[in-house]
Amino acid sequence: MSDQLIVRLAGRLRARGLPISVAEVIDAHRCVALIGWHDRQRATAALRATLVKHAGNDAVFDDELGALLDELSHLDPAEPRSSDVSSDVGFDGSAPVIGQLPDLAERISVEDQRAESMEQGLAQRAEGSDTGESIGLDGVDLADAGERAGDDRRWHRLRPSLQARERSEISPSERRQVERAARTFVHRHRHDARRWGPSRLGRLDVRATMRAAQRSSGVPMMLRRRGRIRVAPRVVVLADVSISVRPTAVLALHTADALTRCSRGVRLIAFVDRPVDATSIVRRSAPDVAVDVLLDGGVVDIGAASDYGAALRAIDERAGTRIGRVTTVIVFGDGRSNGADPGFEVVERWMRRAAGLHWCTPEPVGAWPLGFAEMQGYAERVTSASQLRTVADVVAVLTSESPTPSPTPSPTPSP
Amino acid sequence: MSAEGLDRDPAADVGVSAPLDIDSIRLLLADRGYLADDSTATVAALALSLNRPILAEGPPGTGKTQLAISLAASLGRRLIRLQCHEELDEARSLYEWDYGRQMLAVQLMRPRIDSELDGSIDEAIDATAHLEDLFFSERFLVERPLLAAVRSSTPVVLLVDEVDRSDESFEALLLEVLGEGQVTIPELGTIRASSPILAVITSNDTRDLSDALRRRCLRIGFDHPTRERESAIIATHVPHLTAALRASVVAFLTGLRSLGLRKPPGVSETLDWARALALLNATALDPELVRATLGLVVKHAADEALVGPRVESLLVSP
Repeated sequence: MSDQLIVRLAGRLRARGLPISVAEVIDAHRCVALIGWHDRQRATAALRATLVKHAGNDAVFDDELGALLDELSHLDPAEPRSSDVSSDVGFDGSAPVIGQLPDLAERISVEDQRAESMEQGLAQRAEGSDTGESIGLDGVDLADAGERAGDDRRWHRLRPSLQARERSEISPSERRQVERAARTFVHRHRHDARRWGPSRLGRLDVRATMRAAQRSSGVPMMLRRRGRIRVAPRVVVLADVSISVRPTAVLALHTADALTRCSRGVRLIAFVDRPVDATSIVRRSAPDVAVDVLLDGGVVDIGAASDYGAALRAIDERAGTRIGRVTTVIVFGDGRSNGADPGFEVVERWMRRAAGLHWCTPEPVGAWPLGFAEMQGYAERVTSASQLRTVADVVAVLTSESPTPSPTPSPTPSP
Repeated sequence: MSAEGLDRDPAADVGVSAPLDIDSIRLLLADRGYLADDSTATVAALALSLNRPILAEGPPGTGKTQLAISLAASLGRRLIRLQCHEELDEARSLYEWDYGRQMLAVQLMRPRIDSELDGSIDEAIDATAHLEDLFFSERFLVERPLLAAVRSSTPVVLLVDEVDRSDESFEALLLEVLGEGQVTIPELGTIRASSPILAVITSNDTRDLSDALRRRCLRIGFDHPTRERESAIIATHVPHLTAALRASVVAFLTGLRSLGLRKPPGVSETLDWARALALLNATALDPELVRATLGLVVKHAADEALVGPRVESLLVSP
């Protein structure tokens, strides 16, 4: 049974984007075999230690393990030997009894079918197709639907996916396009590091040459050289995640996520009226989970009024030193400061320091000077400003040749 | 299910038979002043039984390094420490040939080598071939922490501290040691560990570690302790502090951590502060005393500017 439970748990976690290998599943099995199922806390600690390798995925693990155990402990009492199930799982305090669960896999399968049909029903209700009326996709309405269906636990698992649909989640093929463009961007914007390493060109490395020559007593003598190492670019991505620019925010976060996974020199700062460094969230979570977390409003107050000036000044204060001549800054946002100081002086300062500053806004050029928008002012001060509404626009921005940072001069090869 | 199946030990199915006594590990650590929570003790016990490395992740000052030190002391093992930094490479972490001694040996042996080189070049090469083995033998091998752990004749605890400060290429170097318990030296061959190595890798999460490294480890996430736990830690390490003052210290630090400081105080700062208060014979916290000793818990000027005006309110709030 423990095999099935662990395998099913791993499958669920993989479905949520956690990269769990077969080796980790085997480790989990070995650990649980040592500890046993009778102590819930310790068994959970063992599973967590083996299956969850990023802190950001702890919540997903808790959610999926809870849901799985909940399903197993809430099997229909009319079904035969349901008590055996809980005793095998062992989280009711009883000792694990290995031999009493021959047909649990079948019951899990039945439960899955039931759950799938309920999910479909919920999805249909959410779309209003089965009742003929439109049911909103906000949490309250759908929570009611979940209660009517009699399974709030499964509902809690379903709700995020429905909310993700509302957020115009990009398709897997679009995501691959963004990742490809991000890799191109990172490759093009590599720059020289201060450190030196083995190279075909560069200065003579006397120590390495002598060491290599020892084996052959210097015949033949192979010269070893050291040159500058090309390293990943520094990129600072600023993403306005307010409700008014939600579609752009989704693209921005996926772009930042893809860049972050390609290179460790990428920082993501999400903001509405104040900035939050979201790099660690992206690094520790699966792509969709990271985007969902940042758009949920728990990290950044997405309902606040946008204040670009305050946000830019705060970023400059805390992370301004990171922006140097090898740093590229990409801003995703509509530049609407709602009447507040737009912080042009910060943009001008960054332009003097950075390799490039690129602004992507969801609004067309004609709307830039309208209302409280300061986009026109920003556009005049940055390297490039462009409209961004689709994945194709993201690809165009990342793969264009123009945003090239000024590289550190390469060392002159010495003979 | 057969009758044999009912009596079968589940651990035997997966090839592990070592007894797992989590409570003993916990008590042993407590004897050394390390109050491990249940999940930490569980993972430490599993790591010992399965011979897997521990990956301890969390903010600075939350007891990651101390876990390795306490485990070594508790288990009576030698602690081998490798402090990671950006320039760490094979020569500083694994092994290096003693170039200076090799050159010295060549100089000392020159007369004899010259006497053997009277014939043709082919004969000279054949005559000096054995010297190659001599120069690349254990005589001239300088072992660094990873090799020292592998070659140790007694069980050791290997602490790879702050691995996130090293380059990604260094992680690849660790994989062979952590995964297979062996080191390959091209000139000498593969050296396998003769005694168990309990590796503890710590990371402050300043950069993401590779999945290959993570996969080989049992991960423990460290975080700032709860009030009760922090109070117990202070009571263990600074027993002279009164219970009332201990409670005030813990409440103040909990408030500090909620301010979103750039560097929230960890347990090590807590203990430093508690020791300082004990040395000052303090019996209660007052704003003046807190401001005078704030440098022990607040490590950035920006944090100090944030905390300074709030000291009174932090002392009042429970």
